[in-house]
Amino acid sequence: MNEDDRGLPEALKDFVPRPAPLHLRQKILAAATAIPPAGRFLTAAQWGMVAACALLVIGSLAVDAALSRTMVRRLDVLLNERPAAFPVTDADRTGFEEILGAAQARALYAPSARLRQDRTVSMQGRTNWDESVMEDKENADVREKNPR
Amino acid sequence: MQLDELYDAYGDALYRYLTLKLGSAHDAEDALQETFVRLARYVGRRRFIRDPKAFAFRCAYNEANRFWKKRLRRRDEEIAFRPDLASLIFQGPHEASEIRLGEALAALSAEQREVILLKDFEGLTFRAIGSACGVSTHTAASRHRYGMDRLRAYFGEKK
Repeated sequence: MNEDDRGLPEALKDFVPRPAPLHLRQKILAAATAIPPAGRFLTAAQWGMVAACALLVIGSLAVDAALSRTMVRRLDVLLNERPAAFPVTDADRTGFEEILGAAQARALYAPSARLRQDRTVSMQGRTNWDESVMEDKENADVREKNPR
Repeated sequence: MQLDELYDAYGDALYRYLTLKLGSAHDAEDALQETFVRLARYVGRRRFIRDPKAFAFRCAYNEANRFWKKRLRRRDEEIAFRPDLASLIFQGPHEASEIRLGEALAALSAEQREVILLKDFEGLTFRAIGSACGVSTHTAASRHRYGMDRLRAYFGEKK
């Protein structure tokens, strides 16, 4: 096959191909780069976003774990090492008693005061449970004697 | 070769080819975008492609056919080529000569116009034209020969 043939007619020799409009380049490349290559699930930009999200999640989990470890360590210190490291002072004891007293008062005047009263530990170290049980027994005895 | 390099190498030629095939600059822009979207999928596999230029034109050819089939449902119809389209594709010494070239091209069949554009203005070989247009090398060469005969006759008559 003769590739050269006889070439263009003389009248066509002065013609040159016209370039495509300039605005097309940016528009087309923007559209084409948004498409993932064949055989790939996401574009490079989308993979980047996924990696950033994954790093964020891993980072937040690591920070959470570190904070939890610190909390556990502090609790451990409070529960086990406090007497040695930080001995309980009289001020602490007074504060604790005030808090406990307030809690007890609130329990006494609450709607279900009776129930709470039974379960509340008094400051003297004994329970009101004995008294309430005794009252119940007395009331039962009275009911037996006077059934009406 | 990256996508921007691909556009710089073949973008203009594909635009001219699609304008010639579709007969409209606006449709050519849409089809060119679709062509590059399709080419973008093959950017990573380009080492397997023997002739990138022919491959790019083949993508454009398929896209043009898809375009016609989808929008106009006239794939097998002869696409009317308006003489004024020549001024979008070629730059001549003056406007009258561009119109004259358009009239000469309009006198050819769509296949002959296509082969003459690809061979004489875009520099593809008959083999590449054959693989781009889905015909044999001999068919591409004969279309070119008949087309050139008609062009010569046209310009001979006018002269």
